[in-house]
Formats: sequence, structure tokens, C-alpha cells
Amino acid sequence: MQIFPQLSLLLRLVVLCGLVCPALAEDKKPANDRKLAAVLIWGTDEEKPNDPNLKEVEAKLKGKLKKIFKWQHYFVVKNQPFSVKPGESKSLTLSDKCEVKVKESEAEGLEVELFGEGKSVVKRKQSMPLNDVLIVAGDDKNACAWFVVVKPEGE
Amino acid sequence: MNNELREELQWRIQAYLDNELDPREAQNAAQEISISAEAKALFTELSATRQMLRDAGEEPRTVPASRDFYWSAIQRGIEAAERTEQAKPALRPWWLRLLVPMAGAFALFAILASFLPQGSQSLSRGIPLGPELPPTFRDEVESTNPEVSAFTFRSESEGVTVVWVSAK
Repeated sequence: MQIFPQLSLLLRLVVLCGLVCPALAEDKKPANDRKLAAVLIWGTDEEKPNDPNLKEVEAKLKGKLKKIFKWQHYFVVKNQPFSVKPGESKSLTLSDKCEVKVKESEAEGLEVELFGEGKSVVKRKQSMPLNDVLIVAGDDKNACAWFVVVKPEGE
Repeated sequence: MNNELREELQWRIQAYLDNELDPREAQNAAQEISISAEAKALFTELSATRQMLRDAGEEPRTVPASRDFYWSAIQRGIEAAERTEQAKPALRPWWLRLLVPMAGAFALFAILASFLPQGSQSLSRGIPLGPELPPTFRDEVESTNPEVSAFTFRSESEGVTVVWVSAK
């Protein structure tokens, strides 16, 4: 009579599997807009340059940058808030040379493509939890660096 | 007397006590015990130890082979045991060994998944990373310009992913 406990366990597993499979299916509920911001930042060890348009990066983001990177000062060149829906893509011009294309996909998360002087440079697919920040960055002349930060708005 | 000579003397006197020396070697050992204070002290100590073991009921063990073959016999025994161990057939077929942990993992997954919210909620929404996570996602970086290279690193503590781009 030992077959009954095994059969019972098997049936329970089948029932559980039946409950789980709908949970694995894609969410049909319409998704909300996602509010993000793309920020072009310039990192340098020099004191603030004379350009009045440059503003110091706000404290929270600056704290993150300083913990990761070596530069002493971080200035915002352009901050562009935007929202994106699943399936939608947005192109954002951050400077004459720098453009970012952001595409939200339910299946693959956020896709961020960076363009330099009109040419695609790098593309990143990123699952973006609520408070996560994505930074695409590189060296600049005079031992400086540029950073394109894609972050939740207000973060 | 240095350690090497002392060790050699110990072996010789022990062998003399155990009657393992040939007559000429035994004679030399006896002579050495009578001449050398150290050899005599060692002989007395070993004799006392031997007597103490006998008094305690410890029977002398006889080596089942001559000294020359004793250790090689042990070595052969170890090698034979190792060969037997290697040749031992697998107790269960491979698929059965694989099936047991897989069944366990599936059962655990099913139980855990049953605690997730049902209905319109997707599986990923049970992960406390944020409500806007897609059901499936892959993080990947692709350098779209052959003149640049990119690498990615992540700071978990800051919740920051960095894609660093540099010219090749």
C-alpha cells in the first residue's frame, strides 16, 4: 500500500505545477509609463570651470559616482527627464555629439543605445529595478571622463 | 652522538633484543652494550619496556614475512585495494542519480512558486527588485562600433551598473 503516498505526492506536484504555470505567463495588465532621466555628466579633478551652464551633480548621485569612480568633481552638462512605455523607444539628444536611444521591452527590460557623433557606440540591455542606475561612461581628454547616466527620475 | 647514529644504535639494539640479528651482528651488538654507556642504557630501557608490555599481557607480534618482503607486501595490498575500489561498478545508473536531485529541485521550485501571488501577477513581481521588472530579462552589452571596446561592472552596494567604453 505504499503506492498511495507516492501517488498523492505526484498529484500534489501536478496541481502545484498547474498553479505555477499561469504565474509564469506574461502579465497582460497594461504597463505604466516609466519615468526616467538621462543625464550627461562631466567628471574632472579640476575645480569648476567657468561655464555657467555646468551645475554640480546633486548629492545622492554624486555620492554614488564618487564611491565608484576616481574623479573629484562631477558636473551636469544636461539632464533630460523622460518617460517610456513598454514597446516604446525614445531618442534623447544630450549634446551635439551625444545621443541616447532608450527602448523599454517587457521581455528584455530596458535597452539603452549610445550614439557618438551620430554613430552607434554601444548598446546595453538592462533589467532596471526601481532604484537602479545605469551608467555608460568613458575617458575624455585632459584626464577627464564623460558619463551618461540613465536613472529613475528623482533618484 | 648525533641523531643518525643514535637512531641506528636504537634499531640495532632493538633488533638484538628481538633476536633478529645474525650471530656475528649479535655478538657485535652485545659487545657494544658492554662497552658503551649509552648503548647499555638504551638496552636496559628497551628491555624494561618489553618486559612491561609482557607483564601487561601484550603478546609479541610476529611479522608474517621477512623484513625485506614485509613492506612490499603491504604496498602490494594497498595497490590491490585501490584497484578493487576503482573497478567497483556504479551502484545506480547515471540517469537515476540525476533524477533524484532534479526531482527534489522541481518539488522545491513548485512549493516556492505556489507561494507567489497568482492571477495577473507575473513571477518576476514576486522578486523584491521593483514592480516594473519584466517577466524575463537578460543583461547584455554589445559594442556596436568596431573601434571601441566596452566592459561592464556592477556595484551591488550602490545599485549601479557601469558600461565603460574605451577606444581600441
